[in-house]
Parts: sequence; C-alpha cells; structure tokens
Amino acid sequence: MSLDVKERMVFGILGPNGSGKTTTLGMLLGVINPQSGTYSWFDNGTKDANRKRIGSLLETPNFYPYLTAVQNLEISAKIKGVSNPSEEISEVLKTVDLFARKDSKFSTYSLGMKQRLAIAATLLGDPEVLVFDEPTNGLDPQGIAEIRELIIDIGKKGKTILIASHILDEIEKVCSHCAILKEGNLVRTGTISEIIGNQESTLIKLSTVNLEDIKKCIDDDSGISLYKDLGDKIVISVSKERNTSEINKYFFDKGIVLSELSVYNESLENQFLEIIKKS
Amino acid sequence: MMHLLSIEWLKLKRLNTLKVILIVYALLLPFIFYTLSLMNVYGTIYDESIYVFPDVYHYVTYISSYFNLILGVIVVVFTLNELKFRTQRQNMIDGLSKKQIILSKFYVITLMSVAITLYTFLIAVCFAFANGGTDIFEGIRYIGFYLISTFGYFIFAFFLANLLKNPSLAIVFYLLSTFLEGIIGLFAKDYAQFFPLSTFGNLIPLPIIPDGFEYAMTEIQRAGLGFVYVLIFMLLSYWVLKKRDV
Repeated sequence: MSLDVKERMVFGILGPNGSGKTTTLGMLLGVINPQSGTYSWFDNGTKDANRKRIGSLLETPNFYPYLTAVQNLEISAKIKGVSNPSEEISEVLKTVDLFARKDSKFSTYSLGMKQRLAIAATLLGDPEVLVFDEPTNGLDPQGIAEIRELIIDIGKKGKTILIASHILDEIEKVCSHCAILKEGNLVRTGTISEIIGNQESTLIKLSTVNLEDIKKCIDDDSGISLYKDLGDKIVISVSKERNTSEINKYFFDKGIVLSELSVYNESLENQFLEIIKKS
Repeated sequence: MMHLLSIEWLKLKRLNTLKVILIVYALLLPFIFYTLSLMNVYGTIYDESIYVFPDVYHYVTYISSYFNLILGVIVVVFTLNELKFRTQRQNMIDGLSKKQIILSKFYVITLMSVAITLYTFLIAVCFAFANGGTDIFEGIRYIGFYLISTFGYFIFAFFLANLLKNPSLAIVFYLLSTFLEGIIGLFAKDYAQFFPLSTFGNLIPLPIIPDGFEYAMTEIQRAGLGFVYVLIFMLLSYWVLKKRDV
C-alpha cells in the first residue's frame, strides 16, 4: 500500500472495521511501530517534532478524567508549544460548543462531548494538517452534521485533512480524495468522483407481470446479468454504454412488456460494499 | 527539562491520590519517630547516641526506607494512569517522543526522591537538635546513600510498571520483589549482595549491627553500583517502551 497526500487535500481513508485505517494512522503518528515501510511528514521524515504541526484525533478521545476541559487542553497546548494557550483554548472550546462546560471534569462529559473536546484539542496551535479517525463516532445526528460542517470549513481554510471512516456518506460529503482499504491492502485510490461515479455498470430496476420471463431472457443474454431479486421487482446490471430505451426494446423484442423500467440507485453504503466485495 | 517537568506538573498537581498519600506520609513519618523515641525501642540495645549526630542519620534513614517501598506504589500509579487513560498515546500524538515520555517521568521521580530525602534529612536534624546534637555534617553521608536507595526503589517501580503495564500486577510484584530476590539469592549466595534490590537495601544496613555482615564492597562502591542499577532500569524502561505500540 502506498499513498501520497498533497497539501490542501481533504483525503479520506475508507474501509470496513478491521481494515487497517487506525493502524495506518497510528503508524503515521508514531504510536505503532511499523513492521516495514516508511512515511514522511512535510518532506521532513519521521521526526517526533513533526507531530506538533499535526492535530490528531486517533480512535478515542484520550484525556485525564480528573481534569477539566481547560486543564486537559492546557497539557496538549503545552506539549504542542502553543504561544498564547488560554486565548486559543477558549477559542477552540467555543468552536466545538463546549465553552459553557469548560470547567467541568472530563469524567462528567457525555460520549459526544468527549468527542467534541478531542476535536477541539486537534485545533490547538492552528496545525497545518489535521488527522481525524472516525470523527463522528458516538455523536448524535445533529452533532454529526455539526462536525462535518466544521471539517468542511477547516478544509476550506486550506488545511490538509486526513480522515478515516467506515461511513462512505461521511467521506463523500467532506473529502476531495479517497483511498479504500480492505484487510490492510489498498483497494482503490483517487478522487471521490472517480471512485464513486466510475462504476463499470448501470443498475436498472424492472417489473412485469411474470418475473420469470425476465429471468429467462437474462440467462440467454451475455450483456445483462441479474443483480438483485427484490421479490416483486428485479434489478439487472448492464454495461454503462447501454441506456434504458435500448433495454426496453430488447425485452419488447423478446415479447415481454415491462410495467416498470428505471435506473436503480444503490445506496452509497451498498456501492462501497460492492467495491469491497469485488476486490 | 523544565518544559517536560511543567507538563508533568499540570497532570500531577490535581491528582488527589498522590496528594493524599504524600500528606499521610508527611504527617506519619515525624509522628512515628516521636512515638519510637517515647517507647525507647532501640534504647535497650543501642544507647542514646542514635538520637544525635552522627548515628541519627543512619537510624532515621533506616526506618524511613521502609516507607519508600510504599511510596514506590505512587510511581506505579502515576506511570500507569497514563496507560489507563491512554494519555501516553495522546501525549505522543501531540508531539512528545518516546524518549521524552520516559524522561519526563524520570525527572518527576528524581524530584520526588530529592524531596523525600530532604524531608527525611529535616526530620533527622530536628530530632538531633532536640536531643542536643551539634555537628550537622557528621554522618551526613547516610543522607546521600538514602537518596540513591530511594531513587533506586522508585526507578525499579517505574520499570516494573512499564514492563507489566497492569497496575495491580506491578504493585504486587514490586512489593514482593525483595522477597523474590531473596529467594533467588539463596541459590547464588556469593552474588546475592550484588543484586539490585539488595544493593539499594544494603546502602542503609540495620543500625544495630552495622558490621554484622561482610560486604564485598565499600560503602562508596555500593552507592556507585546502586547508581549503575538506576541507569540500567531507566534504559530498560526506555527499551520496553521503544519496542511497544502505545
């Protein structure tokens, strides 16, 4: 697996649970020793100090439970060498809407608040690169929407963002580029439209009085294959060049009158599963 | 160094477990010496000189060294808190190197050893002056030995914490390690006195019979060996962390 993330990209790493997203990021962030291979940040190699220029949320929010939000962020700020900590801490806490609870202990926070505090911590010191591993984990729908907005905003400011997720929708909404992982291997990489838009086949949903008639025709023909049987309808897969009117004519010639014919849009989630399955 | 220490200070100053244990220790230690002097435990075998210079240093550091075993538990707690909260990982992600992770705890342990030694020194001095002692520098070398011994026990606790990663396991092993070392020593009698915990312990031998045991090394050599063990445990801790995913 080899990846190259350029400045100002919002780069998504997509893959099912256990595909190696966190492991990959963990190696990049120096907490997991790679068995082989190398990485380089800012054309500056693997130096520990590079990480001070990166804001990272890896897997879980990690804070001292007996300290308040502000006290926890003071530690992060000190490690990162932030010049005016108290101002920046207030600012990032306002950004993630935690300012009202800034003096509550971390242990009293809900899962969503913990996640938001972790995102606040990544913003400290105005880093050039942000790394988010499952950033919307544990958030409610409103929280998810807010965090996505926030990430899109950060991306617009010209920051480079690396984001890992198993949720395709999330990657599609915020990323410009994406890589798909499976069992530690790179399955695909490219821009979002390349990956999601560039399917080899079109799916078409059909219906008629007797579905068996359709199935028979499909068996005879090499250009059409059965994709899914929905019970009262059938989804077929045809090469991208063929359009619906051509398909309609094909079945009509076979003596089948279609009662329904439409392009079938798989949910994004399913497309992703398809890519993973095919590889 | 000051940078790493200031980071550690932010973590430790609000850690209540640490505060409680240290306050109890600080109150208990003088109280114990006061009680012992009333009971005159050593008075029957050992004369009044243990309450004045130079023997007061030996006596006070010997009794205090039992507490070091308990204070080592603090080291295990604040080291493994960082694993429990996964903050060691976060500190690294935020930019610390593994070397700095080890060094920052090393500095804290150094400072803690120095503070405890100074406190013990203060108690010994107060005790001696109250009993009519005059020459403060007489026998003061035991304070130096005590520092290395304390430092040694703490670093050993730190190493065990890093190695075992589990607080209960590390604490039990730490408290039992002196006995375990003693058992191993039975099979290697000639070398037992060179083992690390024996080295730390022998720096301050039992005051009643200071010459009851034949040491192969002089006091200074024992102190030197103790210091070497401190460095070894430090390097081993670093090596353990270096090889590990955090």
